[in-house]
Amino acid sequence: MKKVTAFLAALVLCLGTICGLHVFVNNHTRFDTHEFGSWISQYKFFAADRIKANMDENSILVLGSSEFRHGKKMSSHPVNLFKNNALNMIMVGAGYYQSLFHAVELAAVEEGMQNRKVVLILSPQWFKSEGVLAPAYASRFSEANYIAMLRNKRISKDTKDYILKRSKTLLVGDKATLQRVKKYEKVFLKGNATFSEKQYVRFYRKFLEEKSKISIFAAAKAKAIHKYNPKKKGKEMEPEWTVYEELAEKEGEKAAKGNPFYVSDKVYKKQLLPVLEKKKGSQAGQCYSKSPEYRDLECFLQLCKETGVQPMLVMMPFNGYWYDHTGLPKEERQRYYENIRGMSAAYGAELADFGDEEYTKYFFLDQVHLGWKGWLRVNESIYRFASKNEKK
Amino acid sequence: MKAFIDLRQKMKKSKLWAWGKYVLLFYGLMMVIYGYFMLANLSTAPGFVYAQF
Repeated sequence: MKKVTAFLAALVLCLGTICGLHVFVNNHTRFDTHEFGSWISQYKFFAADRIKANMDENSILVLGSSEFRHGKKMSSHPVNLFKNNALNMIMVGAGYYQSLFHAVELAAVEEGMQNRKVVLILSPQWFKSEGVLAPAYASRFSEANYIAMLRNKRISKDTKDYILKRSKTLLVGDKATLQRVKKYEKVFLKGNATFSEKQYVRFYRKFLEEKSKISIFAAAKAKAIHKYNPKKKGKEMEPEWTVYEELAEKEGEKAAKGNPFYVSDKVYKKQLLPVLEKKKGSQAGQCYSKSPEYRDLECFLQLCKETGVQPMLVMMPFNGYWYDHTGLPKEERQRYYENIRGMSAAYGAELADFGDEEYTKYFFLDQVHLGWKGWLRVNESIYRFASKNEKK
Repeated sequence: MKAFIDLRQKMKKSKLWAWGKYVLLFYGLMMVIYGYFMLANLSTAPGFVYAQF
């Protein structure tokens, strides 16, 4: 009996602590806008409601992939370039985060986007013939965001059906998640779930919400992300692009040390030189013009249309020097550019077209990631897009 | 030192303390389980190595 009463008392204490934590974390997950925006963490990407809570009228959602992590020391990297600017880029993405993930992410956060604009930085490498890889998608799949997408009433059934079908195909390697995804379909889309399935999904959704709040709070503490300071305001001033252009040229020249690919010399020596012979002509038969990724991108654009979010696609070029070496035909590269141009025109999306920058020196940091001039051009296009006042 | 030994003896005899120890033990266990579920990576996705390029 003594143990039973002790257990009950502990349970009451535990519930009290959990409730206290819930309230505390709810009030302490508003972070410094720039630090939060540039924080690259899966905890952040998976916590759509926290992203919404950390957005204001100066925030712009920028979706991309591994480029965010690379070259953070460059003055043209957005972390540095917009450090004291009023514009706050909320970056979402790391390696293998592609159109389908971003469609779900956008569906989950769009309600909190005050300026109704989104930027998607497209890497040509997403458009390889196999599209997003199933294990990659599974490892980056956020159930909380997925449920939020399914519950978003502004998104059509067709778009949800597409995401559902693709997700089910790509999650075959993750049986437990796939089972739950099927339950979500029954509860939120088909409406033919049993009582127990409804209760399970309800409980699990609450659990995921709580988990994402607690884990983002803990991760932000570990990363020393400061809390929101309403007195801290960025400058409403356009960056001096010409000054940055000169800086990018200088920094690029210094870092490349004259290597034939105009990329970081460290990368050239460590990553490129050892495989130079092996990679020569290795991509002669590669296809970038036919890929399931195009349909995923279409889904993203359709979702923008349905939710009234104005998208801008940033079309990164192929690194001309490197892809000439690997033998990817110029015609294939052009076909990729034309596909993106056509798609953006068809959906009325703005396009930052860098297709003619393949041979711009210091545009790339390595084979694929944006470098000194690349980030500068991309940042300028994002700044101009974000500053436009007209509503679609 | 004597005060400490006396206190220990008193606590050993105290029924409230004997009960309180169980409360603390159960509370600690529950919080550990809660912390695990809140903070652990519960993804069941197969491991994936970043090696695109």
